[in-house]
Amino acid sequence: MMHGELLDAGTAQALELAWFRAQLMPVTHYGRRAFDALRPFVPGEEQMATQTAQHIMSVANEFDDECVDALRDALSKTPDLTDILARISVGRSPDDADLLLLLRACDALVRIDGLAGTVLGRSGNAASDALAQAIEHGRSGHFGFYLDASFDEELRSARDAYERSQSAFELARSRIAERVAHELGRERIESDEFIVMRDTLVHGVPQSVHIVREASTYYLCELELDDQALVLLGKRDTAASTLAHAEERVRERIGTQIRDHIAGLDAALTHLGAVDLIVAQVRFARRYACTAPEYVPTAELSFSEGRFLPLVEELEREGRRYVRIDVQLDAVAVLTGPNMGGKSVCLRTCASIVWLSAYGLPVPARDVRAGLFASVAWLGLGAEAAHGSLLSAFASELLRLREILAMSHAHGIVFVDEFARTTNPSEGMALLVAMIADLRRRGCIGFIATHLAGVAAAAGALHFAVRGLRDAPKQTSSRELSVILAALGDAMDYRIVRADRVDESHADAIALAKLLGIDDEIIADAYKAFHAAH
Amino acid sequence: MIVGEALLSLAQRTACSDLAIVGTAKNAGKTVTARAIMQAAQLRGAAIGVTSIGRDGEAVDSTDAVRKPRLGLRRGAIVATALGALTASPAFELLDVTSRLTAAGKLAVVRLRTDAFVELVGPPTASGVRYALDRMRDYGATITILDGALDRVAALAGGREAIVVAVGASGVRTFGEALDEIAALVAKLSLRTCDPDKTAIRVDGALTAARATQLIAEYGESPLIVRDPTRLALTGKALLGLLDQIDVRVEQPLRVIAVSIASIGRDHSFAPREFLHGVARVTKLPTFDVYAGAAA
Repeated sequence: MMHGELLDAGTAQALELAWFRAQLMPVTHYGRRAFDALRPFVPGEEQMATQTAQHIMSVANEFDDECVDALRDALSKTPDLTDILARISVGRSPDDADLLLLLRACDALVRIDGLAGTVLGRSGNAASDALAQAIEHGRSGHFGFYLDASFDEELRSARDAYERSQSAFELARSRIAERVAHELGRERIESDEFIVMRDTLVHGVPQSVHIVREASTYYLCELELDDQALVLLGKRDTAASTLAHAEERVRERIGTQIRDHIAGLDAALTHLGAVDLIVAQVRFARRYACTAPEYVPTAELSFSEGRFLPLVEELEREGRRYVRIDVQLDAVAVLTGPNMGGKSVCLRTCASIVWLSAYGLPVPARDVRAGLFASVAWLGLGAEAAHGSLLSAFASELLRLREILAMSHAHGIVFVDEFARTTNPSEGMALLVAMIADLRRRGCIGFIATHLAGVAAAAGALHFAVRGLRDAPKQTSSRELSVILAALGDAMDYRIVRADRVDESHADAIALAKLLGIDDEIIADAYKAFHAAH
Repeated sequence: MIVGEALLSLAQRTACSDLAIVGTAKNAGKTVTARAIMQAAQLRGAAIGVTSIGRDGEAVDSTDAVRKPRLGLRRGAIVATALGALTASPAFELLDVTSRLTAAGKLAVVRLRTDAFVELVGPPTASGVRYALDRMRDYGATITILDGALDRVAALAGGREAIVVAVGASGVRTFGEALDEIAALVAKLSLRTCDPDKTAIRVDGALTAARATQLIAEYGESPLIVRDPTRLALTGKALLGLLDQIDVRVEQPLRVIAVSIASIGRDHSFAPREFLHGVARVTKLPTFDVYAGAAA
């Protein structure tokens, strides 16, 4: 689900696509692989997009939140077997950690099938079942793995022989150690090397003690194994070698079984990745009360109660309310409205709905009619190009415009947020009018948010506006920005309507300046000047 | 005298079932002491959990290629070590392969199903060590034993472990010099917790000799507080002199319960009995010699 095919990095940044990607990200390696392989639907693929979105919604209706959480939990426990399977496929034997992870993957397949198999199809298959059976002998407790003797009779006898030889050697060594300790008047010899003080020796250094170093007051010693213990040590080492071979043979045999089923296991894990992907999408759809768009073969976008989710979450964290908006867009339209009135949010809402729709995903709005677009582009605030200090803000915007026009083609959609706000207003307006004409010629639609007056009329474009302040915001003595923003939010009507229904005589910008604590005298003079001009 | 038994009992008298053995230098007998405690615990029937702060327990010292005492453990022991440090045979019971990283790959938690030698490569960080200890307890360890070098002891500050300091004859020239160094080290590691009701000067970062002189000139003999004992960047007589003059406290103390000695160093050695009693005298802590099976 890369942005490169539908939109560029600047547009992705303006839309906060990183946030959306994080919300939609699966939890397994296989799910992330499926996620990265997602491609947007292109114009003409409306039916496929419809099926995809409706499938997600139907699964979202089948599962409740508890089931989705259980699935995510089970999926999150699925290990990435890519490297392990690659090693085994070229003839290497699995080690025990590999087998532990294979066992966990098989467990995850079973658990996920139990939770979602009837709705999403079974991930596990004959191959994964056979592998699970092959390594089941190694299950230890709930989560562990041990190359148990039940894998193989040869392993059992090798392990028994090793245990017996180890015990026999330890017994022989312990007898020597106990005898030496007794002769030295100690309870136990606790280290391989030990010190014997000369003045404690009554009968000389005991038998089976090798003196490593001799000093005037002590000996540094170590135990010396007798012939019997040395024979037992040799037998123990031989048994250890036999055991190592037996263990390796079992690992090789399991490796062969895995190789025989590797394609089937890969298919199971790929299916599991698809399950992970759709579970992430279902979780997104349920969490944000999304709906499936109705896809239309024309370049248009309309919805009611649309939300820009990153802002919804931000406002919720601050205990504030998000006002949902309705939009109808089937051409290049102009959007005007007061500062802090939600023009940029309106554009981001539209653009994020277009982007989600393009991938066949449910969207955070109702009654959505959406065309599939060949490209989505964003110009202006939020997608500033980094050109250092060599270029002015306006020159940077122009370079960005050049890039967008080179990229935009028929069935594209362009969002423009206060382009040319830093240049001469009349020339800025002229450029916007010319841009609108060019977008029309290319067969694109778009939404152009601006403070420049007269653009819609000069371009003959549809003109929408944010309703703006209902009344003057309630003045607050607080300097706290959150309090001021709450007062502004209470007074602002964020709905988008046709511009001819909006009274623009409010001087909302001056009201905002007043709310933000600009000097009363300046505010009074500003109102005077505003009313004189209108 | 069974030193492992005695150290274990000492830890349990202080209500600690987590022990850490920290060594002052190479060949301080850290692994020998740890092994004695492990052996005693397993003979008592306890389920032991063993890990290290960073790397330890390899057969040959990876820094100077000298043979080291191997860490042989009895069946039933639980070990938290790097996946890459585990030998293929005899097979271990893999309880978990965690996402925590060590110098040799992911941290694994295993149970020994047969007696085996292990190389300890534990997590290098304080949080990683805590995680390893907790995981081993989850899998049934009733006593955990942590093997760690002194330069990583900061990871234990404020923790619940009873600490045994392993000191050796290596790296010092004379007996007197060795005792001064050990006395200062143990005094530093044993610094007591600060009293929040008492006024004191808090020292951020390291307390060096120069800084101490400056603080004494400025504040007289007001008590000083540092975060943990490792923040005192003074050693030997300089440190002992400072501690005589000023009350230094810590926010995150270490719980030092005993000292173990290795009197025979690679470069030179001390008379075992004199070294044992000398260390006990200057540290005022129970002191043990695993090699000689003696205590003071």
